[in-house]
Amino acid sequence: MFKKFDYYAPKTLAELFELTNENNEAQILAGGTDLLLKLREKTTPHKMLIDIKKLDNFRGIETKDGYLRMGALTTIREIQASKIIREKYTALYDAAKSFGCLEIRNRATIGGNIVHASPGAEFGTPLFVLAAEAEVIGPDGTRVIPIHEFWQDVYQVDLKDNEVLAAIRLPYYEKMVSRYHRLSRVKGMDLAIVGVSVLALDPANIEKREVKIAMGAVARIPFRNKEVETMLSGVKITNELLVSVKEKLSDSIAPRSSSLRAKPAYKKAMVGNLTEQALLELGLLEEGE
Amino acid sequence: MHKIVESLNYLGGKNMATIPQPSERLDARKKTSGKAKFVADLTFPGMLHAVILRSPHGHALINSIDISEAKKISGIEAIITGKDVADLVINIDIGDQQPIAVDKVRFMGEPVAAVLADDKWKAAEAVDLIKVEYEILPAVTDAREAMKEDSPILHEKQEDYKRHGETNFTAGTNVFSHYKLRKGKLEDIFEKADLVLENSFVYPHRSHTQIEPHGAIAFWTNESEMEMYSSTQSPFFVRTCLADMFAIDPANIIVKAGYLGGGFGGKSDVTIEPLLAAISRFVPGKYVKLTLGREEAFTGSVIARGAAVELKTAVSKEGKILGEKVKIYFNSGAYGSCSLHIVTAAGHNSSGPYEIDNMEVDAYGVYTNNPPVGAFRGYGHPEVHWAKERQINLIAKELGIDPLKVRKINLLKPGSINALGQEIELENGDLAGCVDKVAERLGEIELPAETDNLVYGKGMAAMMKSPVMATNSAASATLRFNESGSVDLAVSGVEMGQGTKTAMRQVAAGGLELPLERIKIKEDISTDNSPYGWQTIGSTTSWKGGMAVLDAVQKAIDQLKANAAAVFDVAVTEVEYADNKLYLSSDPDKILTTEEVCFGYMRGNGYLLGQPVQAYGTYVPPELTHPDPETGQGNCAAEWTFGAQGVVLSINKNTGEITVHNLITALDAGKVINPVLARNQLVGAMVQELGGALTEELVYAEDGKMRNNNFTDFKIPTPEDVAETKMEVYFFETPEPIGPFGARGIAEHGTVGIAAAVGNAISDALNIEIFNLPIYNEKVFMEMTKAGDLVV
Repeated sequence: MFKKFDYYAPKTLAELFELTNENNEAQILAGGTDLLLKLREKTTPHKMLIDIKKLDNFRGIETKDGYLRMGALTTIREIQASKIIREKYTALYDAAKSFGCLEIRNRATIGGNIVHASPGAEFGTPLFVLAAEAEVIGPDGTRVIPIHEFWQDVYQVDLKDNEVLAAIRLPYYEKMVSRYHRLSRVKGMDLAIVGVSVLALDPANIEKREVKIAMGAVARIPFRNKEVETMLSGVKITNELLVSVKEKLSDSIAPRSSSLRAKPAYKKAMVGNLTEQALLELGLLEEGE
Repeated sequence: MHKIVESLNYLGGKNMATIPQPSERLDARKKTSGKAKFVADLTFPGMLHAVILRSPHGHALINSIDISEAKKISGIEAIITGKDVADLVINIDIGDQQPIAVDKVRFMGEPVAAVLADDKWKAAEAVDLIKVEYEILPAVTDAREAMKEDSPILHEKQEDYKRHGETNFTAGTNVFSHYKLRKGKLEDIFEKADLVLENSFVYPHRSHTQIEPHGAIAFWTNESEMEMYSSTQSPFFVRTCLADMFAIDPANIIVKAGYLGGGFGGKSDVTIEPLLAAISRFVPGKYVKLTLGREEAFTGSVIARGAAVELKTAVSKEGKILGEKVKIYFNSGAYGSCSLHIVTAAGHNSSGPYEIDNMEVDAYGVYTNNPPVGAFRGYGHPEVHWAKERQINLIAKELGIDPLKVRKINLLKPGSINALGQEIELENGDLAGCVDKVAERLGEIELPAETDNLVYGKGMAAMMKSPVMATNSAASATLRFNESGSVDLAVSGVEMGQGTKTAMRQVAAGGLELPLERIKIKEDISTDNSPYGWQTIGSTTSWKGGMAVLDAVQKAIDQLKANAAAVFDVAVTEVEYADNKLYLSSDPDKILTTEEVCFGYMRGNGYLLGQPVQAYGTYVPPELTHPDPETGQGNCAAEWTFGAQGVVLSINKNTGEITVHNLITALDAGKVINPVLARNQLVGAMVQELGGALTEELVYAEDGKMRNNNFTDFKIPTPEDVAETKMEVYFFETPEPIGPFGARGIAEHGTVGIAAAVGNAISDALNIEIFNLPIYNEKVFMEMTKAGDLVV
């Protein structure tokens, strides 16, 4: 069981910052689906929880100034139900669909998933290939940080004690396709053993095509393999190329052997196979040969 | 099989063709609307809360415990350590365990101290302040390792333990039990056989994962009188065990059990009750509540299964099994009582549903630094069927013949002698019919065309199960007519979600020929006034409880007849009972209604004829014996349920992911009392066992720490895992002579063959052979890769 804690639920940003300024060790509570586990495991000091669910500033999915903005409190279910996300940012939709179970999806938030910064976080790899940005708000104003800089290490993001994640911004491209695939031990309610996001900009124009690949649950943070992205961009993707791509992906990761979810050899094989599956579904693989 | 009683002729030859069917389960509305009360919901004035400090180590000496800081927390009523209760021994069968560890801890999760406080938070805070100095000892977490000479020894002085009965231990080792079965002679059978196949199979530890973690509340009036509410399947058994531990009369202990949020065997012996009873005795006059958290339920109660099975099978070229040598290493965890009889059950069921003339079985119960193992749905049978039913397919593969042929040539049939030396009779059920049914269904199911990525497989397993129980394991029922002619019924089985009360009410209604709504059944149990029942285990409650209900029904009808005979002024033999009425056999127009006589018949002047009708029914499975110490044989199985199971699945060759399309069970239930409940039992059991087949495994570090005592990393099937699965259940009805209306046990049976059927289906799909459970995606993929079937 967890220990007792003080609970606050500010209604305005001013109230929020008053609380965070005074309490360095306060934990921000959004959906709570990660935090509750941390409380039970007693891995987090938690004398005070600040529930931000009453702050409307952090809600909603909207298109704005050429990008899509998702408030940090957007639930996974809302992402799953969003037409624009399903059609335009498909990898994100895939991640939402495979996230936890329905009850968890109703409760958990995109912001919480990112700030928790677990190596296998469902939204890690989609946001990395989508070149997302984190909108962070504090008493001194707003900062916008590229996701790969915001996401610093295991359970570590670029947030000062008195800052909170306000939203995620996704740049808009006219021609963009993406998929996310993950494996888990059971089909419902499980963490990812390994996950891969593949994105292509201008997919139909082979010469201009830009391919991005990020892998999750294989390193301390979501990992983009730039070498493989270069190999796959601007060329026909043949089976021959795919063989060496899979080899490179496999060689580029060194998952920890103590994982209860899968051994390194399996993850090393799966990053390639999931990538192949995504390329196939995105119509990027050359037929025949 | 021994012919025992002629209960088909029970109730004057009536064989109920139709038993009244309820429209819904008795407990359904209460549970779905949140009105049903569980132990965790109960609260009493002034109630204290207990929080337990548990060992973080698998094996360690306790050098010192410092409670000085913990005592300073306000609201703390008592802090109890092992030394305070060192005189208490939990002796279910073997007195090897104490409620709180005294000098040494033998598993992660073993109680080391307890704090009682007026508030759970305070108790938890105090627990965190207790300082324990441990001296870590080498640990062993595998049964075969624990039998090696250089293994750490858990119990140095086994010979000093008190025991109830023989347990065949070896002092100075970790072996606390050795069950031997000898049938026929193996001699030169292995030399003469066309094929000798040796394989080793592992079924690891799992957890019961009941949705309701264990909970109990205790209250001592004085030091020799107590009452306890517990989430137990066995209130009377808890009473027996506590009475033994405190050396007080069982009559001075009252144990109450209401609804359980699942049991599956994990609440069937004693788990937290001796601990709570021991610590609450320090605060007489106060209620003390102990409820486990989820992580604690994994390590602080009992765990499940855990067996390595080695088979050496001699076979003729036709597939006939000529003889078999079996070794079973049962990983029982740190204490032996709760798995002692599972070792025996696994031993004598290792033949599977086959007639094997020559058998040598050695089953060892072995101490390891894991939490103690207890009963779990299937009780030794799934472990040995995993081995045996895989072995059958492996034999068929070696011989190049259809596994169905190997099964059918060896199946038990009327006239066969089983491993226990019992003769199988027609009335034991249609095993061959069940096997044929599943084979037929597997044949009928059309598979989609295979693709580059997707392959399909079908697999089956034949199965049998018998309950294992004390030879005096009674079930009882009380039946009392009310003045309105309605009936109050009580039976000894605990309602843990299996629907036993619904079914028992049907049995009574069938026997009395009363409409269901005229029978009110008591849904909770209190040992001071409920009919006695040994334990709610072994799929025996509908069967034994049903027989007890029918015994009460018969006695009640006899009393009704006696009352009517007094009114008619005839001999009781001249009165008949039918359709809720009593009449003269010589003059069927002379009728009395049940209502008129059930409270005694009162004449106009107030003169009472007869007595209010109240009956007590009992049932004890007849003629049971312990197994013979040398041959392991005897009448240790009161009834058998035979069946077969099948699985259709597909495998993604790129990932090893398995999708299960069909789960099939055909079972000879004898008589289906409630078709909906019976089907649901089988479906639930199949899905639960699918977890054992595919994902469930407790993982230990070398030092004995359990690494996945949570739902993050102990994965049980979810609805999504069976969303595409068609559940198929087929019942045969060969009446069981000693079952109510011919019914026999079915509740656990859906678990028995599923893992093996999954293993056989995977072999069918990919031609790879898996020997160790669970068969998770990664294992399938790595085996495929090893087999060179696939280029990564």
